[in-house]
Amino acid sequence: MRNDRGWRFVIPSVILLGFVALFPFIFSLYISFTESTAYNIYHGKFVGLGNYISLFKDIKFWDSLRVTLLYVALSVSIEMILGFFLALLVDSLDRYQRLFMILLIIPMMIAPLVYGIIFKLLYNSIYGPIPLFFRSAFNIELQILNKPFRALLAMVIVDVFQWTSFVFLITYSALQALPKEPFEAAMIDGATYWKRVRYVLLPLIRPAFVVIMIFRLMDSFKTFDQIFVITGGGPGTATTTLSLYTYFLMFTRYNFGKAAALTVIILMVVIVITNLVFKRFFREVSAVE
Amino acid sequence: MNRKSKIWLYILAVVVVLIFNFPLVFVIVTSFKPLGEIMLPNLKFTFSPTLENYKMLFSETFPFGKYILNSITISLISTIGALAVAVPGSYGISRFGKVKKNVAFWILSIRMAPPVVFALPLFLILKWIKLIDTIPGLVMVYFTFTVPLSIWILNTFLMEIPKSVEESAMIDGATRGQILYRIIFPLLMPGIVAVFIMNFIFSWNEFFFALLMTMDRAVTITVGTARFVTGYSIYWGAICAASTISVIPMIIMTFLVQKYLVRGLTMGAIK
Repeated sequence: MRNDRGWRFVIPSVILLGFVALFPFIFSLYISFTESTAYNIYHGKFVGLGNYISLFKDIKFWDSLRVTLLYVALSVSIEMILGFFLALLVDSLDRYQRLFMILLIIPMMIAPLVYGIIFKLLYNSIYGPIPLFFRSAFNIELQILNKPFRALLAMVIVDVFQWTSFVFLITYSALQALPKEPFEAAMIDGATYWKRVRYVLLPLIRPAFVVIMIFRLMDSFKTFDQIFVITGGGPGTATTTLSLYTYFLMFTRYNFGKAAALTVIILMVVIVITNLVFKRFFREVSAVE
Repeated sequence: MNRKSKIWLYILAVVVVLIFNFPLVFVIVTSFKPLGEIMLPNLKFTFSPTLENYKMLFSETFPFGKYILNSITISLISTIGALAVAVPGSYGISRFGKVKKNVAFWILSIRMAPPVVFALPLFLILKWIKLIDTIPGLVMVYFTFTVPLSIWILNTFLMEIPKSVEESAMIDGATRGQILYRIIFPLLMPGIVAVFIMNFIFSWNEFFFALLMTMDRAVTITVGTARFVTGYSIYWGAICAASTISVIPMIIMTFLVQKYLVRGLTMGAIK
């Protein structure tokens, strides 16, 4: 079965992906070495690594990197912890597990853009329910989106509200697939619930947990829609993540060369991370039969 | 665990469900609120429900019906097109060792890369071939995520089909192509349905590419909804109605594929 021409089945996909993913990347690579702008796309002067150097000297680039890392670190760690405990909670119910599971995964099915707009309304300082609640309950005038750090936290909260459900769902199904025997054995040995969680359950679901974390890291790194619609990157640059910064470089400052250099860097980082993930977690797919 | 703490667990679970679904419930309720009452600076829970926000959505001012139609068309074509190349593609990848590793790694990289990486070149290419602001143009762009997702997920389904089925057909003299369409295809049907719905959800919810690549003719439901946030005012009534309309079908679809949701969301790393 080895040498009959299986590769021909792959050709349409490879051509299509080559056209929509590989060719654009090569194009980006080319643009990143030129002084290309919206008015001079194809004949920009060749500047070598000029765009990359100007990027590394750009304080806004480092700013957006800092914002992105903070955003990713905060949202992913909160989601992982919350999602894990939610999975434990639902898993320990005697009945209606499925119902609770379904109700808890609804948030992640909503378009991130729509979720962002909903929170824009919730956060509104005049008639948004969250500031209104603080006003009537504690008599505090809560301004959420015009203080830099608070605005970033507000974005993290949107992410947490939407994507904790992802961590929950995957952890929960990993829990369901665990063998029962180790837990029964630990119970007979007299281990308390939390001891069983710590010494039996955690080591068993660790591989699944790492996969979940990688997906969350990558996806939260991509975040654009919600932030774009709620704050547009502001106040100042307080919520301008790398995705937003790249977008602004491209479509408000029209500095195509520099924007392309940034996307090349981002893609390189992603490829390195994917490579690690691939080796570790997708071995079954990649194993040559 | 005793009975009393069991009850507390249920109470806790209900509270958590309420908190996490509050934004959605809030937007659905608000969509039936009279416009004047949405922007009142007080917490009021009673109001007389109205359909005026929905009527506004489909009035002359907003071509929301067109946005919905665009979204349906684009999601359908990008989904079906992706499946058309992904069914043979994933079959090729799953059955033939040589092509497997590199193609598989490449496809996973595309899934992991932020869309902003493809935005500039795809925008320029669409401009170049004059497909900016057209349905075929946006469909092409959506292939960047529907195709990798489809190939990868179908691959995990294919690995569950035993090789012996094919081998016996081959002994009977069937060609690879016949095996794929007569034998594999029917067995793969649940996977195809799952991938179809997942692709549809991702295309429907997509915003970033649609924002860049459309202006007027091919505007989708997400971009259309975002347009209610203008520099001068925010049409909250219309926004809530639009959000409700775009969210409900996705929730229904989710329940249809929940069995395969985990697999789809983790690219098959966890089943």
